[in-house]
Amino acid sequence: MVLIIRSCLPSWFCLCSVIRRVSYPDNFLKGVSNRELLTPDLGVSAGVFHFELAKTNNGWVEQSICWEDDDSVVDLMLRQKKEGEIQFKAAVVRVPRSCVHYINKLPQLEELLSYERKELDENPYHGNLLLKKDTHKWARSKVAWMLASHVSEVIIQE
Amino acid sequence: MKNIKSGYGNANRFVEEENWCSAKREYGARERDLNVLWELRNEAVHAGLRKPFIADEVYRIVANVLEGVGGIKVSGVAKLAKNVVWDIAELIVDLQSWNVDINRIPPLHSVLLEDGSFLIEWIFSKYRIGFVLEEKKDESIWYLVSIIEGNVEASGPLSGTNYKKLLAELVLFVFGNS
Repeated sequence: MVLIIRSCLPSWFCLCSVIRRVSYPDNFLKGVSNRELLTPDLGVSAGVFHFELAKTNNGWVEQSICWEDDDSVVDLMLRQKKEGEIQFKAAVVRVPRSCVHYINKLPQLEELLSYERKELDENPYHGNLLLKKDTHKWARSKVAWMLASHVSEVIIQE
Repeated sequence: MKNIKSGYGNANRFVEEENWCSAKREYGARERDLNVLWELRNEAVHAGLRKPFIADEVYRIVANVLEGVGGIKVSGVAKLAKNVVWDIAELIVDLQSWNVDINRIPPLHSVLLEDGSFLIEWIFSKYRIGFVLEEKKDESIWYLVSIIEGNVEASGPLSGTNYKKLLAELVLFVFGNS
């Protein structure tokens, strides 16, 4: 019996590792570097979720996000620096992951949107929203409106 | 030309200032220049005339877009943005004459996107209306996304014979849901 358990352990750890890699929390976070993308009463412009075609990889247009795996992620993002300066000068916004699945069921947007984890050395929570590269400009805009409409919270940079 | 009407229903009381403003108003309408509304407001305040003046509220709603239009490099996009915001302003003025309270209406918001398109949005807690403006009007689109009682999503091209009707319906939706 002991031998059986021992022999199973490596594959069990492997399975756990796979599950950990493909599991996602309920929310993802998006950094907002420009205050002009927020209204005075903290409305979030769809411009926050605009997909830049230059950031294309393997047939997908990438948009950086962070997965909110635990309570430390918001602080990490608010403190994150780029070229010596705070990167998200305006805010971090929280979005429920479920809205991606909702968007993927909308007419003309079926299965255009996806997401992934893509850990970075300095940010293990990093990931991407993924939009199919050949998505029509109008559909790209629609995805951005829908994402902005589903923002559940805006956390302002102090 | 649309008249800018009193928001208080007592037109006689304001005949003098209405006359005083009319020439400039005609110019503003002809040139479709909302900055003229702001000039009117400033001159009215400076001259000690009635306050709040209708231009105050209209300008509050459109000011961010007017500021944003100044940063647009592509003249076709700038012209279209100016036209859309002017048409919205006209509708707001019309609705003001129906004694609709516009104080609760948030300002329009705008941003110039990296692909050169200009995004005008009316952002509310439960819904948003927007216009993505391109150099050609027939490539520009409008949208309405609502999360009131289930998600509602509508959008379409901005060009077409029903443009004015569409705009009126969107503005009425805002007034009906604010």
